[in-house]
Amino acid sequence: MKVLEAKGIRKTFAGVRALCDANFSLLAGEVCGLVGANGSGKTTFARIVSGLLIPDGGELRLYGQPVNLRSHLHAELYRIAMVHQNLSLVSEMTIWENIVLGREETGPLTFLNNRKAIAQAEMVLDAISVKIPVRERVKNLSPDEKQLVEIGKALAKDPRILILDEPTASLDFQQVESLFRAVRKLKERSVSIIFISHRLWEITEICDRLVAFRNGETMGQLDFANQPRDERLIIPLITGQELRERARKGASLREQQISHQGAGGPALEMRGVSLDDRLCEVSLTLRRGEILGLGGLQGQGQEEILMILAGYLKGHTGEIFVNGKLIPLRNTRHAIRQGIALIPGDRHKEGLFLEHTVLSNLLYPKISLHRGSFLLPMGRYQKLAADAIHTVSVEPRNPRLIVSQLSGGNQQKIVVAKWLALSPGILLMNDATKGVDVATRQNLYAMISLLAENGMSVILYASDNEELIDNCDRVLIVFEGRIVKEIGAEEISDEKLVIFSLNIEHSGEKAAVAGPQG
Amino acid sequence: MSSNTRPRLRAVTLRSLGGSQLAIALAAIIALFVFGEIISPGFLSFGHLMSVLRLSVFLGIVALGQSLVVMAGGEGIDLSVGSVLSLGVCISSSLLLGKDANIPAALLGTLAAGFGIGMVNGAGISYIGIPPLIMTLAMASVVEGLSLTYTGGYPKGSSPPFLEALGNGRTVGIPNILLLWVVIIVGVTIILFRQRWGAVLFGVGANSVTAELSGINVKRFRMFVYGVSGSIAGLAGFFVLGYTGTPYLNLGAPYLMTSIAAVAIGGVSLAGGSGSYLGAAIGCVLLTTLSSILVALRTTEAVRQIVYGGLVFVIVVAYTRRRRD
Amino acid sequence: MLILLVVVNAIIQPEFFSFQVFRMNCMTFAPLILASLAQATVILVGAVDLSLGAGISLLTVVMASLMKDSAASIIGVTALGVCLALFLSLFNGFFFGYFGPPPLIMTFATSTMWFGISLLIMPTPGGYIPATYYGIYSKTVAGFLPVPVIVLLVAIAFCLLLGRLKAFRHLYAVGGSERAALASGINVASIKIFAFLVSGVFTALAALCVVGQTATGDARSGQGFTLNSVAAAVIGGISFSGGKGNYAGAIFGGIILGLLTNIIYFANITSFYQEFMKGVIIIVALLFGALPRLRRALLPSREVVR
Repeated sequence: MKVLEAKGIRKTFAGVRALCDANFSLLAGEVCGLVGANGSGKTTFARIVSGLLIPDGGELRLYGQPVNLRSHLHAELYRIAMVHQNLSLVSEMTIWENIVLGREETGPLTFLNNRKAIAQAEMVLDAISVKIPVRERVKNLSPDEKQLVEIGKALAKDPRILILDEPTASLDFQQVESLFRAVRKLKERSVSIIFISHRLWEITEICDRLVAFRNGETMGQLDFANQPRDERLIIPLITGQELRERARKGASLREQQISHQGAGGPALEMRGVSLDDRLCEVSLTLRRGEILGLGGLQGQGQEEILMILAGYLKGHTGEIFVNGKLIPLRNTRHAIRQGIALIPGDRHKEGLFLEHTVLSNLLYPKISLHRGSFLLPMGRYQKLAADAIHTVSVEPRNPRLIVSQLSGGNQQKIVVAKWLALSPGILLMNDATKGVDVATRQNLYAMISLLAENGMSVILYASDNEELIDNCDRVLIVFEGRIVKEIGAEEISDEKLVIFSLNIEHSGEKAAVAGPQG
Repeated sequence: MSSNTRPRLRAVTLRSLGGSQLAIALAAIIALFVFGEIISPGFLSFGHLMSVLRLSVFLGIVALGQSLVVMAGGEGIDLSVGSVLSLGVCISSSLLLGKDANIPAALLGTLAAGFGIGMVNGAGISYIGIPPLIMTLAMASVVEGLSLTYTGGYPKGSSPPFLEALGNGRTVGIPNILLLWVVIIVGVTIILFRQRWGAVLFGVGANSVTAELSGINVKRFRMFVYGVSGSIAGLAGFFVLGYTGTPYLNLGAPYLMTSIAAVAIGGVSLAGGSGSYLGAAIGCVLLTTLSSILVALRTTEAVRQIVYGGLVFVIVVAYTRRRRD
Repeated sequence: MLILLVVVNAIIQPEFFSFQVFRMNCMTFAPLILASLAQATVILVGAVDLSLGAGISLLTVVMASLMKDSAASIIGVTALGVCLALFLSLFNGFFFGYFGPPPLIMTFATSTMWFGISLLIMPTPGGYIPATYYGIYSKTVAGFLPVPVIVLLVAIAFCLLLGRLKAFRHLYAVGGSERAALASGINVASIKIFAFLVSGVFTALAALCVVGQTATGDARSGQGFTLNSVAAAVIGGISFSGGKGNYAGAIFGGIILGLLTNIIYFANITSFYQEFMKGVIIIVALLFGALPRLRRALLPSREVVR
């Protein structure tokens, strides 16, 4: 039976039409994916279903009855719960305090009943196979554990419809698997789930059906009961274009190009770099014009490597050579002057001045490096900004707009453009396309590939293995602060990435050595 | 200034004025002056107008340091400006001893002392992580004590003729110090909006991590901003001495509260990263005008405090309300 | 650290462990500890209250102007004082909760207003507090419990009561992450008002103690409490970002600060230096409080932003 049915939903924000004809249906106990580019309206739709927004038109039916949801608390009465990306947890509090937050039960004299709360929290986490003790403080948890607690919190409301909005945004595949285990358990209990994600391989793995949005309306559906679980079927629904053949040149051609450029020596070299307990004797060589990937599970030290190279993290031992010269990267300015640019992963916290103009954001690194004239050359800067906007196709093209008014994808384009404007010799990408839609991501990587062919060297960390497979010439797997494996161009595959990320081979050796006593 | 920069400058100041916020402030000033004229004829006369503007200058200079600290972000605020100003008065007068020749030494000494105190503030805030509120509030006590020990309770010296001419004299009927202030306002505005240091400041205030990743040593920068604020407060003391002639203790006390109020009125966001000095300057004029009216009404200190507090309260609440919308 | 201070204090202050001195110390410490509790509550919810001191002053002024000798007057005016304290904090809390201005400036403004009103009522310190009232404050119950300690015990009982309330847990949530609290369906505005109200209770108790100790109304009597209460709370581990710390810490912070002040006083430093030393001591105490953060700051930057 259809637990949810939406027909012709419309929503406009201050002249921008976010949704014009959204249709969606959901059956009991199924996982239905919702896909679409940034700005396609899927987040708006999710917020309408969860009661956070009131639609301008259209019909919404729950369990067969038409409803008008007035608030998210009202939606909770209909047993709809939405899981945010770590937006509703108080980090100083324990897991159980967070799970019952806002709905605490009280005994006589409105005193809190903590025992009951703890029991409820344990029950909820058990239902999704989460083994963390409920008395742990949220601030000590890893991102996937926090995400699972968020899900626990939503589950404690005993919903029949659960909305997951980009639940895997910064999770690596192992964490995603644990999430999927929880989702499957929910299906067993007849909970219906709307699963919103940019990661198409996840959609094909966990969803029973999917609906694609484009420009505010439903563009198409796929039912995996009748059709193969193939990402390539999904992409045209999202982009509205025929699938572009992967513009990646063959591996051997890339090797030729790189060795050709490599005559002048490696662009970057790290020898024996260690950072307290987070990195241990990391050594790597980045060839000129190469796109080198850092893979592995999340939090193994990939980000630390990039941050050290960017000059942000200090206190490391070991040597770093840029273009053959030994450079002590003492601070970020040093790194920038060496031609190293880091595109950060969290654009809000690390990449942008949200309340400043596009121009101000694009030119900040250049301005901070400015020498010479007392006044800033505004005329030249205006032109540079216009060029940058054009290169990455930021929409709308007005350099005076305040950045917070742009969509997430466009904001990330600005972050990328900001750093590319410095014409870096070495580009570092710290999970830079997280949360960006497929079309934008393809364009960005196409641009970067082109720059690599012209001599720019890239170190790329992505939590999504697909990105590594599609774009890298080599991948180094990082495990517990060490480089444990190098995978060459011809051998890169999802299977290999997974195996080496878990360091299975290595522990296999250990077991073999340990012998019968082990 | 070449004619090339002038039109751009106007465009800058109009845009960064924060639009209607300051139009309201200007309208309020005009309204207050009219009100003043009604209750006390002669209020709106040129002479009196200049008097009020001259009085605003000292507050304006203190508010400059305060603005910079607030704009640098990190919930920056400098609660020690009042006591540093007082210290500035004492140090200046004791080095000047009424002689023009001592001016360079006195100026240098005052600026250095203010800078040193500000750097201590900045170090504690940036490098040790003490919240600006507490650090500067505690330093205010320390500096008060410093003033007492330095002067032994009886400040000595007096201001020399040149400084008095600056503080009290007029050129073409306009107070000299007011002319100086206009130059300062223009200079600061250029630096904030057309110069590297200002652009860096706004970035640091808006998002310190982004700024750091863009090559700025945020901790060191913020520490210097506090140092600058300290020396500006000292400078204000130097000028105040020129106005009063002889030093007194605690001349700086009334400037603290009002400098914060002026900054808030002037549209400088307390979270940092935006605003303009022109706005704060207009805020200073508004507050000084208000104070002048209260004096004309012959109110007691009690009533003045209530009105000041009430006004700032209303402005702060209303300002946040508008932002919400 | 507490032990160190007690020892130093004992050395410097004559007859530290005598009961007389203990009683005197209790009388002096009690208002500071209570003010620290008041400030801690406000900081926990993510704000700060710079009008704390001025509020206390206003209370002393009002009470000293109105109190007469009769028992009815004493009780009545005391009750009025408590109500006034609650009103003042409600005023702050209401505007903070519903309009959300930055608490620093807002309470700075209200502190100026309260100060002005105090001056209006009593331009110079004076007023009248009957001997029966301040006599109580210096009495001892059951031979070993000075009255100030009883007041503190009442406050502690109040703290324990608060800890079991749902609204109090929500206070921590709002202070820890307002966004999370909103997403969890908590009425953030009313929790903020609640926090200020609770703070008002502690402020009222503090003012009663101050009146009991000084027996005068003085528009400037509360001035020191503002900075001291903030410092005591921070020393006691209350974090400025909100939602972190507890009342026990605030109480210890108040005790530590009190001991420090005693040390300065009894170390025979000239009055010129006292203000100076007070400020320095507070900074040093904050340094100790910030010790883990100090270590982090001196070592190369470790934090990776995530």
